[in-house]
Amino acid sequence: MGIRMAHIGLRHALARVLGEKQALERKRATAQVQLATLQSALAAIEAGIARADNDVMALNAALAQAFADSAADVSPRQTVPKKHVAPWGGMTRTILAMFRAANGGPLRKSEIMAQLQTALDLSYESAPARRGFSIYVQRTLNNMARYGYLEGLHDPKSGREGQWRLKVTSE
Amino acid sequence: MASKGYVRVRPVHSLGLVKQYRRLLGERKFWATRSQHPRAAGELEKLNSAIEALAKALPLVAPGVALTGLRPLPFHLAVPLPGHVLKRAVLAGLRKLREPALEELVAYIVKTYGIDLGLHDVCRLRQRVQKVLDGLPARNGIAPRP
Repeated sequence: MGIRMAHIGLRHALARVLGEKQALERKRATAQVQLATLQSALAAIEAGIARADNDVMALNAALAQAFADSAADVSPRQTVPKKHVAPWGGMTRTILAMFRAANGGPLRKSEIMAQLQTALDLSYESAPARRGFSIYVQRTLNNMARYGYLEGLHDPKSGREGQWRLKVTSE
Repeated sequence: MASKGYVRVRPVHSLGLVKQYRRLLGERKFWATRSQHPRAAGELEKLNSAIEALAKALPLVAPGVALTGLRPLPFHLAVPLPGHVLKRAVLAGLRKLREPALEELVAYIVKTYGIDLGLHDVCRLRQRVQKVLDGLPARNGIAPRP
């Protein structure tokens, strides 16, 4: 009986070690993939830094040779471009033009969105992108109403699609 | 520190750099046609390095600009006389020559200051002298001949 138990114990121990080894091998494979990904990302970053170094050298040389200027007092700056759908008030201007073309008539939000996509040459294939655009248009319409350009003809709490028209101003 | 706003390379910067490149091309052309002059070698060396440096920087600041299609801007080397020196020279010329014509006055200044007419732009000097004359109050003996 003791011999049998010892034999089974050994088998159990072996199975456990084999299992641990298997898990470690899986982890190793995962780490190897991560390492390869990181190495390729690192290589891309290194290439980017090398390109930036070349550009910095070219711009430094141009500053020094053509304008006798030094780049010592130029502080690094990262410029992140804004993600405007239509920059510089293009969306508001287009919506206003639409309402003027409608000659005082009301427009539904879906009509406005469709016309905007045509006018600004936008296309939103995915549902999240369409949703984002819808929120953007909604905020623009709300802002235009807040500043007195438009008036809503719907109950904002009804959950139905909004209808808007140019606000009539008294002379 | 206060924000510097959305500082970026705008078209006006790109166009300015393109113009500077054309200006340097014009200056190089100027010195290349006067290569016998003792200053020419030094100027050409300086201009060549500046043009080479700008040619590398231009694609970064003004992408899409074809460097080979850029024409040099006309370049004139101004007479190295500051305004106050020129005015003094004009007054001296008027006193000495007694009612000179403009050309005589310009010739006097050129001779007095040893201006190299092969290098410096005499037309511009004439314009500057005329401007000084226009600004002078008319007095006995030093008024230019009309």
